[in-house]
Amino acid sequence: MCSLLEARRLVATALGRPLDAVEATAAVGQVAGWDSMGHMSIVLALEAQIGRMLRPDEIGRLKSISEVAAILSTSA
Amino acid sequence: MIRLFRRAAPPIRLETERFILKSLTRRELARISYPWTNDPNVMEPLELTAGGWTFRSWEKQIIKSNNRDRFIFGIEERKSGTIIGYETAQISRTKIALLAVAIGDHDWWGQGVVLESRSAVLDFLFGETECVRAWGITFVRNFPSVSNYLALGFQHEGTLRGQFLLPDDKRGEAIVFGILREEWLSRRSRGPADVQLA
Repeated sequence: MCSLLEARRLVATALGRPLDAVEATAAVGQVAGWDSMGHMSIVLALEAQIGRMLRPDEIGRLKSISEVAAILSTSA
Repeated sequence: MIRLFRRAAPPIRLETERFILKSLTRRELARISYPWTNDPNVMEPLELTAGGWTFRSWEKQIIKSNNRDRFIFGIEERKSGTIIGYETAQISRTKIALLAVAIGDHDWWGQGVVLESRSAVLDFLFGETECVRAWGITFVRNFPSVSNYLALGFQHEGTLRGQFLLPDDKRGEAIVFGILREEWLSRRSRGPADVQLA
């Protein structure tokens, strides 16, 4: 899925990590830097990318690359 | 008037790799945390204003622990012996624990403290008490707090509109996270909490 790669790129950039360090199955707490502060960077980067603030239900489930990709897909 | 007092149960000590979580009384926590009351980054997530607290007023708004159904755990760093934050858990009559946490020492932000401390608290609640569920609530834009719930397997259960009191008396949304006893125990049986899929 194109947006999975896009999601990986977004997360890697937000965390300052190389792309290959962020696998498609990556989730919060499982990637170096995707800690509580890293999560904030990812959410803000995602909001900047899609041009809007995330809804509470989106914030409440955004825990892995697949959820980042799902938001990117629906916001395209 | 005769008032009956029930003594607090004995203090509890939980241990993690980097920290010791030790029972504190309300007064002990008030003493340790009073300097943090001037820090908006600590106080605003608690829906409290920064500054202007007397020691007494600060102490009065902390829960009164009894180590039976109301717990205050100071998070003490092993190496330095310094208490850097605290966890609280209040167990209702129906065996549901409401959680809260605050890390007052900025040097420990982003260091995985809550993942470690809260895992110990959940192990205690679901292993040593009759708790069947734990839950917490946080401001929807408090992303570090949200990530801690998600990383430990809590599920987003709902959104409370206009619930959260922000500075300048504005209101924001709060989101509710919860985890069931069997969910936590199943997760733990698969290995350490910090390597589980969120």
